[in-house]
This record gives sequence, C-alpha cells and structure tokens, in this order.
Amino acid sequence: MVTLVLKDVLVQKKVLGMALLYVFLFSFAMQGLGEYLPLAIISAVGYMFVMYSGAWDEKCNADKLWNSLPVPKWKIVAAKYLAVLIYVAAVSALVWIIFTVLPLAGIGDSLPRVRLDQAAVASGVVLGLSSLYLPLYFALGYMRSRVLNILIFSGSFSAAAVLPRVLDYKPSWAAFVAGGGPAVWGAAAALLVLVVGLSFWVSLLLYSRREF
Amino acid sequence: MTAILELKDVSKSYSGFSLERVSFSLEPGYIMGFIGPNGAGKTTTIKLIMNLIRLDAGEIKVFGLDSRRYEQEIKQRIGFVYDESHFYENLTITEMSRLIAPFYRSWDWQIYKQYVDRFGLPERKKLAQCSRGMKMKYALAVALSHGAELLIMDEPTSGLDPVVRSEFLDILRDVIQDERRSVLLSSHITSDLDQIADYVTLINGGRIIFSKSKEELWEEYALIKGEKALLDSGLRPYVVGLKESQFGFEGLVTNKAEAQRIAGSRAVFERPNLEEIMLYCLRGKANGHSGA
Repeated sequence: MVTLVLKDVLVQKKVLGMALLYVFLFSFAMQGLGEYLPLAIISAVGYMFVMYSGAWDEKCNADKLWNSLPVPKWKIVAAKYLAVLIYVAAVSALVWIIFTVLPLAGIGDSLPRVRLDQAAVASGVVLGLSSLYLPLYFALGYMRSRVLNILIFSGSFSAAAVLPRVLDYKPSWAAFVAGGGPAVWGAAAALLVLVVGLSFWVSLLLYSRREF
Repeated sequence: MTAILELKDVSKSYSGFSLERVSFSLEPGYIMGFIGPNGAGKTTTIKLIMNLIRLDAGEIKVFGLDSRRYEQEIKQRIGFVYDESHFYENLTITEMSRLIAPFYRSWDWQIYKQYVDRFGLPERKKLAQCSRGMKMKYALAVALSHGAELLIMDEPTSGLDPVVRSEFLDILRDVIQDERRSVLLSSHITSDLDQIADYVTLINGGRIIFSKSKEELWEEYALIKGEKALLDSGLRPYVVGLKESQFGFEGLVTNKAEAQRIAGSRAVFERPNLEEIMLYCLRGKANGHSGA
C-alpha cells in the first residue's frame, strides 16, 4: 500500500510547482481570512492534490493496470485515503516555508503564523471533503464525478466563507481552539474517523462493482 | 494434465453485444492464438480472465484455481500486455518499474534488467516520450520479469508499424521458446500467429467458432479451387466459405480427406493460412454460402 501512496505522490511531482503558485497567489488573494488563511490554503491546495491524483489515474487509464496486477482492491482504495494525509503534510510544509520566507523578503508582512493545530484541522477538513468525494470517484471515475466534485469543493469553501458572516460569528483562532475543549475535539475526531471509515467502506463496495 | 487456463460456458452481456457460452482451454507450455475480427469478443474474454469485468455466468479457472476466489494468487503468476499502454506517462521507465515490482513476490530485477537491455529500452526516458513500440516492449519486459507462467496478450501488435511489429514478434518468438510458459495471444492480425501459435481459437459475434490445434486445422481444412460444376457433385456440404466467379470457384472445405476423395484430380487443394481460414469461416457464415 505504501507503493500506491508513493505512486500518487510521484505522479504529481509537477503539480508541486503549481501548488507553490497557488499558495503564493492565495496568500495575497485571501488575506481577508486573517489568521484562518493558513487553514484555508492548506485545505484548498491539499484537496486539489486529491483531485489531481484521480485525474492522473484516469488520464493513464491506470485502473486497468492496478486491477491487472496482484493488488487487492481494498489497498487501491485505502491508498487514496492515506495519501490525503501526505498531501496535507506536504502543503502545510509548503505554506510554512512561504509564510516564513515572504516576510523575510519584505513581502507579505501581514501573513499570519502557521500553526501545527491548523495543519491538524486542515487534515480533518481535507479528509472530510475527500470522504464525500472519493466514493463518487471510485464509483464513476474522475471525469464522470468531476461536476459533483466541483460542487463539493466550491460549495464547502463558499459555505466556510459565508457562514461566519451570516451567523455573525468569527472567533479568533485561539478562541476557536480553546472553545472546543478536549471533549468536543475528541468527539469531532471520533466523528471524522467514523465518516472516513464509512466513506472507505462505501468506496470499496462501489469500486468492487466497477468494471474496467 | 490440468489446463493452465480453462473457460467453461462463460457468458457476459452488454447492451448490443454478448459473449455466449464461451469455452476453451489451454494446456501448459503452449501458445494459443485468439483470433477474430474487431468487436468479436476477444478483449471482453481477456477482461473476464483478468477479472476486470464480472462474469454473468460460467466458470474460469487459471492454474486450476477459480479466477475470482484466487484472484491475487493467480495474478502473481500471470504476465499481461494490453493493446494500449496503461502506464503513467509522466514517469520514467525506471520509476514505473519501481512502482510495479513490489507487488510481485517473484520479481527479479536482474531478469528485468536483461530484458530492458535486450529490448533497448531507455530507462530514464519518460513513457510519454517513448514510441508505441517501445511501450509494448516495456510492457513485455514487465510481464516477463516475475516468472509468469501464463502470458496474456491482448492485441499487442495492433497499431504498430510493420517494422516494429516484426521486431516485436521476433522478440516474442524468442522469449516464448521457453516451453514452461503458456501464452494466450489475441490478435486480428492472423499472420502474427501463423508461425508461433500451437492452438488457435476463433471467436466471432461473441461465440467460439472453433478452438483447435494448428495441426488439427491443417488436417481438417483445405483451400480448394475448381470448376463450378464440381460443387454439385457432393462437395457443397463440405464447403465452409466460398467465392464463385464466372469460371469457377475457390473456397475453404472442412473434412479435407472426404473433399479430396470426392473431387479427386478435378480440383486443386492447398494448405490455408490462418487468415484464409478465418476469412472463409466468417464470410461463409455471413453470406450464407456455408454448407458446413
């Protein structure tokens, strides 16, 4: 399974350059988000990697290859979920580097500090979004699930931008983290595990029924 | 001896096409040419063997094992080459091999390297920059690097120019000299199989027309040329496919010995190649000329 995760990372080498550009652009375009900026960028660019990995697989018709090799389907499915954590870690590191280097170069003095807990929450966000998207991807393939994917992606980020204004609720990051408390964060983590587990099970079921 | 590959009454339906009760078997150490026109059901049959699509009915056994129940075990012992490359185009040959190798318990890097050198594959070149012929040779190198006992090839030569096709076939002929290996090679280019196939299975419209050894085919079928009057002297029931002209006829007869007895010296008999057998069998059926 490590090989399958490695594959998703390896085939997206070129996307890394694009990710760098996106992080750079978002750093300025989304400055209104204040201290939530790193969370938003890590989530958005991390999810982009999830989409691109599916696009590459479909472009090369790789499902036919992996399903002809002695690779159980559950490993193919699980690798896509595991790779999400790698993407988030990579994008978090990228955001941290850019947010550190830019102020040193005299650009982007107002960029907030990148915190580890934000990367952790971003992992949850990307895993949550991927849990919605991956069953569709495994059932329909990248091209046929693309419209639904765009709806999930743009819908989630629009909701995240609009809801605080509608509800008139925008706490500081510290208040947001402290406001949850261990019990709430524990429950959120348990819910995430449940959602990811359920999503994995549905993905595996749908992928097993797919023909190549 | 247990057949290395056995299909029994295999059926699969799509809208507009169905594979109907397909049965054939391949013994260890032999090469089977799986021939038929485009859309005959060759790729569907191969996909069923590889478990890429689900069976509607029937049974497929590979190495004597149920193809679905023992899928992983079977795939460890199979090498495959498809009609199109399914490798990541943005990776180099070496990178791609590093991704594939860990899945095979018997992957041998030394053997792989030997094939890479022998086929002249540029290891550091991205697959996107490789020609179609190169990609096919690479697929063959991968298929041969883990001690596969059964090679499954779906139209590996289609789309290759004649020079590369001939080179690919030379390589193939060379590597399958090892009689431990069995090969199922599908192609609509029958000349590819004239030299190398031991057995030939003809499929058309989702149905198996015949599955026989090449010797059986040569014994059973013959090309015949003669005057039209000869057809009505008891020969017609043996004619599988026929082309009639003003001056005479030429066609393919089954039960060669009986046809020769009937025609005597009034007809010329020749040994047909696979293409002629395929064309006459299919044309005969299509045009309703057949008497067989």
